[in-house]
Amino acid sequence: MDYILSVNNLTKKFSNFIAVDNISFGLKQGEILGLLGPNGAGKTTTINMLLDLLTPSSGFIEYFGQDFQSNKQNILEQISFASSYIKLPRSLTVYENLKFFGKIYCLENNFLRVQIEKNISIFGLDSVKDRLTKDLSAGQLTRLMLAKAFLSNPKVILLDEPTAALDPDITLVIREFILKERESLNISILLTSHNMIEVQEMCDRVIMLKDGKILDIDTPQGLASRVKISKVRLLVSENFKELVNYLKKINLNYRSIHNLHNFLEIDISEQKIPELIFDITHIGVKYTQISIERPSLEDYFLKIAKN
Amino acid sequence: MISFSRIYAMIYRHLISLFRDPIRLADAVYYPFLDIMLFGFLGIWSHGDQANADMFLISLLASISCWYLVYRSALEISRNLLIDIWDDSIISVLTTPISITELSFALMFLGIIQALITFIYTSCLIWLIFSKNIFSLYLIMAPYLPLFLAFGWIIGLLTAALIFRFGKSVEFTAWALPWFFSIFSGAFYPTNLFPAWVQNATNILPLKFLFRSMRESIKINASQFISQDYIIALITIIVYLIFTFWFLFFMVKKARNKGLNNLV
Repeated sequence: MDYILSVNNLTKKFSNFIAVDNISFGLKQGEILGLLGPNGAGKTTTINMLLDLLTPSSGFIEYFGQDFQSNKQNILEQISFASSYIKLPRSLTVYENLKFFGKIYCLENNFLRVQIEKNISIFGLDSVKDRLTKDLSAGQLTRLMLAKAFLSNPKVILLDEPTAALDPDITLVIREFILKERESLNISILLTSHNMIEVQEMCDRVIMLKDGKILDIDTPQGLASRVKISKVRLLVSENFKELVNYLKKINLNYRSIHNLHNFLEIDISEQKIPELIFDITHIGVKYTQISIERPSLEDYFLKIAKN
Repeated sequence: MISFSRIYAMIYRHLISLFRDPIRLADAVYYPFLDIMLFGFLGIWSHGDQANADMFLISLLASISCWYLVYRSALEISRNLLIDIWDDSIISVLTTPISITELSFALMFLGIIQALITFIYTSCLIWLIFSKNIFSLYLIMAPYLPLFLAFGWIIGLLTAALIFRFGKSVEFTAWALPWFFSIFSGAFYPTNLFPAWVQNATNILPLKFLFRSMRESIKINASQFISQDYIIALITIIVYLIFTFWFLFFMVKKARNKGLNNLV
């Protein structure tokens, strides 16, 4: 398999602490790969090594089939980075910031002008393009950061929590933009996010990191299916006591939800749901609402984080 | 490969910041004024009744002007780097293709611009306050100016190396280090006033030879850049500049082992 980005046996040790422990993975052309994990899992350390902010203790990184350490500048010209945790020069306006970064990526003047206008429009920055960056709101700053990341038409983009601090409507626009750009320019994206819905909707594959190690790599659906327990929600109208006794008898976990004693959430494996429905109908339980929630990526994440 | 576009981008970024920051502009005007006034009048007071008072004063004021070449070219390197750190924008810059060499060249060029503006400004001050025409000495001083600038770069790059390695905790060195060199380099007085052992120690400072040679040139009203002092200064500055670049790359490499993200 030819990867655009290939990480091989990457390790980072800080004196007696191993932040990243012998991880290997690849990012395919046009793929959006998610990097998930609880705090301290090694996501930021990995991203820092992929950007040459941090030197690996061992292992190697290849972009476009070239060794990163020996072709840094050439490779960094073709990749870009955006994070809602870093800032841009405060005393430059939005337009000046984009011009500054465009020049750093050696974009030709006419192309740069077109790209700046296009990105200012896409990211909804028209009304603030002459405003100093220090006067922008957190959401506007994140949008500027993304406008900067897409300015040079990079082949690979590393996005660290790209939509944190954004309003839901803008988040949606930006997600759509990223997916569209990926489609039209075949950009490969490595994404970290704590927003599970975002990861589930955007990523083709997800890497689950914990304690510096890769626990799993799969599609979001594949990872979610590792959790075997679904949730059945019932709003019971008759014979509530019989239902509780039955659940106790067959040893199923349940809880009241929405502060209603007769609204129950039952943990049960997906295959056993028909049997449950049959049995409770048989003992005379009546319900006015039923919903079944299949395991999500969030359930998988919580399971890993708790363990 | 070095890209002029990237060097231009950094100069563009910092010049805009400079002209939008009234504190920095005031700082560039106020401190040279303070030194010119302080040392100028101290010079008149202490030498006013002596036969060579005029020559002493013009020599002192020219030295102060040249010292500001060193100081400004040093400060612009370290302070512009610190501004990106204080802005938390250094990571945005370091995750682009800009190399440490390009970043250094841009900061060095910013140092030249600031230093030359300050040099002309101090010359004007001297003319206005003391009626001494430093402009007429520019031709004599010309061979010395690039070396003063280059030594400023050495101090600035040394400071930048320390900042890369130790972060904001050593930001005071941006101001402290240049003034430390001013004491021992004979910018404001000849180094032969020091005890013998200190005089010997100052032999490692090319500024000492530069200031001595320049004062001699002003005294005889002819440039002394073929003198032994000048050549010693030239060679040492070249050697130090090479060493400083090596030291900067070494410290950045060390900093990368810990993570450049620790700069913010």
